[in-house]
This record gives sequence, structure tokens and C-alpha cells, in this order.
Amino acid sequence: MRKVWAVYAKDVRAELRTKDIFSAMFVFSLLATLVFAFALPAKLLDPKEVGGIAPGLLWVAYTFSGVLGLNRSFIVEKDKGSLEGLLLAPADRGAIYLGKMLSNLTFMLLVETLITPIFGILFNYSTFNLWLIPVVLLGTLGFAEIGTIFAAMAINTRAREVLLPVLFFPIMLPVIIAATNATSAVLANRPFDEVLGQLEFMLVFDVIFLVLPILLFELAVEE
Amino acid sequence: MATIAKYNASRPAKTGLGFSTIIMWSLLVSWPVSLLFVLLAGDDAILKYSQRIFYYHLPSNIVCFIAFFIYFVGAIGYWRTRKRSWDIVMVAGLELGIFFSVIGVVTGSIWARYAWGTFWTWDPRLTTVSIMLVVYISGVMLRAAIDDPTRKAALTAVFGIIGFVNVPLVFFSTRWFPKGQHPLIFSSTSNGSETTVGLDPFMYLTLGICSVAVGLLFTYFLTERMRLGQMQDEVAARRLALEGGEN
Repeated sequence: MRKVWAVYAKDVRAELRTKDIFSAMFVFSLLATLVFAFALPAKLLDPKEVGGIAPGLLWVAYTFSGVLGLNRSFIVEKDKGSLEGLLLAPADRGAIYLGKMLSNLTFMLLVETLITPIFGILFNYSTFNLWLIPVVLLGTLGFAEIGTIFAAMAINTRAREVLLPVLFFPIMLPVIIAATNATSAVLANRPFDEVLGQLEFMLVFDVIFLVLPILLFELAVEE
Repeated sequence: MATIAKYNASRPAKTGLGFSTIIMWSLLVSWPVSLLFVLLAGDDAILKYSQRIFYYHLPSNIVCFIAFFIYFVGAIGYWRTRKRSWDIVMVAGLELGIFFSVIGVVTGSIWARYAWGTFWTWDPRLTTVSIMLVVYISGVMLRAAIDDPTRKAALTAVFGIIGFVNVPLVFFSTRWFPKGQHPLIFSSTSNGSETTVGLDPFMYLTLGICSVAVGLLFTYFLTERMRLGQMQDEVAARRLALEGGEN
């Protein structure tokens, strides 16, 4: 546990000094939101209509900016040669994975908390609902879990950062389906039963893909 | 040159009837027979002629699940033992799974055009199979992006385990989709909401024969793909030895 914390603290400290990952993710998701606003016909952005598409757009913005951050977290390590050092550390590979996963989760959640209200303002769409918190939390946890192990895998290939989205999106589709459904149910104030099923599903997904990558990370980064 | 001559000499002489030869001949027999039965089987009451594609559709889909399961088994095997031979199993399962699921999707889609009037709907089953297909295609992309054979095997194994565990999750995630109209042929509990279609005995026989034919095709491809994998490994090893000799 202390080792997990050490890896996590290292990542957060590095990020606080450079603000590399965070700024890239935030600006990117902001731009994505703007692109949505311009690409979609004004008719769809009408306050009455927007509820149908906004949850999907929100999760597209989350996913794309998430991939950006996940890639950075390993590219920086690889290019500076610190990845080898990290792997040589006398720690279980599972602990390294967990530390990395938690730092990625933190950055993604931070960007999401900032972009969600901005998204709501730009789309005339109220994104303020406390029940959105568990939905975003569970969905993003799934992203971070799968994304961290895949980013570690992608960095060691010839295609590098290009490969991560290719691997990441298909596997994440169940979470994206559940998260968008839950988000639209929450924000439309639909009965809570609907949300609960999706939350349970995401919880199951998160638990499975928390255990599995911890076991498999060793194999994924093996030289 | 000397190495190649030695290699040829050390190769076991080809013995009369190998496993793959037997499979190949049974393939040549079973496919025409299956085609004959498909043509002879009675017309479907509602769908008439178009229903016949189903005799190849169902077996292909079953076989693609078997292939992906073989990939998963190979991945677990590689994870536990780190033996190269498991990599050959993984590739064979991965490639054949994609091949047969493409056949399943395409035959299903052609059939759907006539039965439902559309090539595609986002029915839970269709969605699951299409997502599964995309997942495994990205697995091929992953393999293509790695040069080092050991790393290739390791990452293929990681991806195979995660990808396989993901398949049931994909299916669960689609349960909120509106109930599709995919017909069920075999169903233990016939609930009114889903279409259950029965087959007459001759149709079952035809289905059985077609399953054998598709199964044989799969077995043939599997053995040949694994043999090819072994040969590729051998070539790589020999090339390495030759290059080492020259330097």
C-alpha cells in the first residue's frame, strides 16, 4: 500500500510541476465541446432536444480526453527513461499499476469536474445533479483501469500512442453504454431504478478489471 | 547451403495419411453433402428460401466462439508457462475467430435484409457480436505493431484474457437495449416476448450435417494455421542462426 502511494505521489508531484497532462486534457475536452457545438445543427441544441444527445457527447469528451491523458502518462515516463527505473523499483508490479491507475484516475476526474459545468453552460443543459457523481466516478474508474494497462502495452509497440485508442475503445464500449444511459437517466430525473442497474453493472466491470490488470501487469511490461 | 541440406535431411519423411489429410478429404465429402441437404430441406413457412442461409450462419457463430475460447485458453497457458507454443495457439484462435465471426455477421446480415428488411439493427446479440469482432480486430492491430516475438506473445496474451472476459460484460451491457427480433431456435423456456422458431426433424438433420461441415473446416484451418505458425517459428530460428553464423 505504501508503494502504491509512493508511485501515486510521484506522478502527482511531477504533474503539479509541469501541468503537462492536465492542461492538454482540459484544453482538448474544451475544444471537443466546442467542435460538438459547431458540428451539430442548432435544432438539436434546443433546450428541449439537447437531453437526447448531451449525455453521449459528454462521455465522448470524457473518453477522448481520457485517452490523451493515459497516453501522456506513459509516454513521458518512456521518453525520459524513467519507466525502466520505475519497473526496477523493489515493488510488486501490481502496486506500480495501482499507483499509475490512481494518478490517471485523479487527472481524469479533475478534468471532468471542470469540463462538466462548462459543457452544461455551452449546451444550455443542466448537468448539476448529485447522482451524477457516482456515475462519473464508476465510469471513469473503468476507463482508468483498462486505460492504464493498455497504455503500458501500447507504449512498447511500434505504433505507440496511436494504438491506445484502437485497443481502448472497443473494450470500453460496455462502460460507455452503461454510463451514457445512466447519465441521461439521472439528468432527465427518471426513476432511480434505471440508474441503479447501470451503476451495478459498472461496479461489476470495475471490480473485474481492477483485479485482472493487477495480475496481468507483470506480463504486460515484461522485457 | 549446408544448413539447409542438413535441415532437409533431418526432416521426418512424410508418412502416408496425416491428420490434416484425413480432415481435408472429409471436408471434400461433407461440404457437397451439406449443400445437398440444405437444398433438399423444406422451405420455411414464412421466410421461404432465405431461411437456408441459417444452416451455415449458426455453426459459424458457434465456431467463432470456440475459436475465441481457444485464444483465451492459449492466453492463460502463455501467462502461466511463458512457452512459445501457446503463442501459436493464440494466433490460430484469434485469426479463425475473426474469420468465422465475419462469416456469421455477413450471413446474418444478408438474411436480415430479407427477413427484417434491413441489413442491421442494434439488437443485443448483433451488438455483442459486432463489438466482440471489433475488440479482436484491434487485437490483430496490436500484434501487427510489435516486432519482438516474446513481447508479441506476452501482449497478445494480456489482450486475450481481458478481451475474453469482456465479452459477457458486453452482452450484459446491451440488456437495456430494446428487445431485438433475433429469432431463437433452441429455447428452454419459451416466453412470449421473444420469437422462438422450431425446426422439423429433417431441418435438424441438415443443421447437424452443416455443423459437422463447418466444424471440419474449422479443425482443418486450425491445424494448418498451427502448423504454419510452427514453420514460421522454425524459419525465424534458422534465419537467426544463419545470421549469427555470418557475423
